[in-house]
Amino acid sequence: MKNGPLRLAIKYVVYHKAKSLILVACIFLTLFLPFAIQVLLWEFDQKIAARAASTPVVLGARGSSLDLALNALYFKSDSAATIPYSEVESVRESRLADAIPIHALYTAQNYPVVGTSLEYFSFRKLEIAQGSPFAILGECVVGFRAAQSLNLKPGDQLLSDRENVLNLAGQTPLKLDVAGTLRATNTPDDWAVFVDLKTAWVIQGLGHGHQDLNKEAEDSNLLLGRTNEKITANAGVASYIEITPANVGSFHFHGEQSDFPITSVIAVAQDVKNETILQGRYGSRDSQVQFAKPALVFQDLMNLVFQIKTFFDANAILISVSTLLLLTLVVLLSLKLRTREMETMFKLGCKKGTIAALQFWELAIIFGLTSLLVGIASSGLWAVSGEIVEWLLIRPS
Amino acid sequence: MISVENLQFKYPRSDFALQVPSLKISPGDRVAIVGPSGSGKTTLLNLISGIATPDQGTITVGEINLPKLSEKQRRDFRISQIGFVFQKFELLDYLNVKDNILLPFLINDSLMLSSEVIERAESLTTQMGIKNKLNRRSDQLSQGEQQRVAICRALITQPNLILADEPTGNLDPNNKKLILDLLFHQATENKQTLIVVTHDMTLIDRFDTVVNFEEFLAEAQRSNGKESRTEDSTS
Repeated sequence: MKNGPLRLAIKYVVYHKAKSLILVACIFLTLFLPFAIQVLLWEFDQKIAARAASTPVVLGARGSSLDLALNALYFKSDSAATIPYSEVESVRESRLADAIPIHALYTAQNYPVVGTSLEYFSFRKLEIAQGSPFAILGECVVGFRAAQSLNLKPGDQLLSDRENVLNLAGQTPLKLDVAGTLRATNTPDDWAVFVDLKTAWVIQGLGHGHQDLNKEAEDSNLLLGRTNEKITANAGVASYIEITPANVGSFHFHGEQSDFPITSVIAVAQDVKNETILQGRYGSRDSQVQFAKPALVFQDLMNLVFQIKTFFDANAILISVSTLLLLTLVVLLSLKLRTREMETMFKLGCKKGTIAALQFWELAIIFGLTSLLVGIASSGLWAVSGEIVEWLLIRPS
Repeated sequence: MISVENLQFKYPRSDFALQVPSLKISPGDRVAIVGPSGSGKTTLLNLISGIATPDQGTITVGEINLPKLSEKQRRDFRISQIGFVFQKFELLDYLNVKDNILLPFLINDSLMLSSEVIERAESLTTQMGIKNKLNRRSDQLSQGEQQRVAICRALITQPNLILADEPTGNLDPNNKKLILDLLFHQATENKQTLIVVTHDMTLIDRFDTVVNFEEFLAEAQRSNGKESRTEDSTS
């Protein structure tokens, strides 16, 4: 019978399911893991490079340029330092570049709250899917993924997170009104909640609204003192946690706006010459502001990542060799255990070539099955690699 | 007719040597080969089936002189003429009863697995009383049932010669009798020659011929002694 060895091999592999599956799993992991790392790294590189390429220059506090780039591009606030808003005004006044402020220090339901100006939307080509851009204090525009996962639509409300849940004296959360939601962009913007810079400062506690003490003058329990310049009240004065048309007029800021903090500035120079002048301006050691090109910052990061990857590649080769050796050992031990079976076949007239064919088919089935699984897993990974990287890189932790 | 003349065989790197001066077995005979362990009974079966080739002497089965055949011809001879039954059954644990019986057809290109063969397999299992076990795996059968499957496998190619190496060695007394009855019945019905190696002296009175390997050993010792005396006198 021509296909007898194949038929026997199938029956052998099916009967020894556990052994076959272990072999398949070993070979699958050996082949698939290096491939998966390669694909994910490639996707990671593509995504990070695309985002960096679309953001020519960022300005921020001196320190790690990577932290600065991560804050400006990915709204990571873990180690964000601040610079005064006057730096935005300074860039604008210089006419060297358009300056878009970024204030990414707080979160709402764990999604980063990004205080910025409306120029950010046109700079990133963000489109409103539902509703409208933020127009007044307290309004927000929610990124596609954040809106999807929090099930938000225009008219809904979203509460900002406390900076520290254990500090009851800290700033109170602010209820944000959802003015609009954004279309998907497959960028970190999908996972962010955008507010006007002033709203971000209100969240930070630099601006606030409370009951009108002039009108509440009759309530002697609240007032501690009154002069022509100043009214002093006790802690019983009610602070607003929501900005409404009725109370928006009571919201005010203490201090100079130019001193208020931002975490970074996206600077869009009109040409290379202006960009170089801007770089020179912030290049001095005395400057408290650093100039960074995200493309170069992330290129350095990826160079490091790919350097580390060479160790993984070497490791993968060693694992492949050891798996191959173990597989050889398993086959040899299996042959030894099956000596009587082979002798019986030989006595029944089986050619040595047929016995070899039987062994070949058994291995071919194992490798074929593994290749099929690797193919399916690779196709699956290829299809969702973008989402996986987005999940790992962009999704708020 | 099976004829063995002046047979000498020695395994490489072994002191053991088999000598069979003369042995003749008529077609349809039921032959028992008895003798102590290590006397060469299984080796003789291997030589008669063409698995091993003798150092000296002739083995003819019908008109075929086995030592003269090439390895391929001996393999073809084994496929077409010989049915093997082993002491430990040697069934494949990953096959069911049906596939174990059909194994010679699965591993030999020269045998065609036809519907006629499958019908024959089913008929044999009916005769052996294991028809209802066709889809069971061999490790789900009793020892007696396993040996019946092994007999079916030996008979499926319709051989002229059945070689059984201690077929009852692993069986209880009831199954011993049953298996031997089945073997005799099949051999008689199909006019097949049956050669059975056995240690069990209680069974030998059922055979037409009994070949005692102790005689061959004694003969070998006598001839060895004669040779050494001759060598002594010449020196």
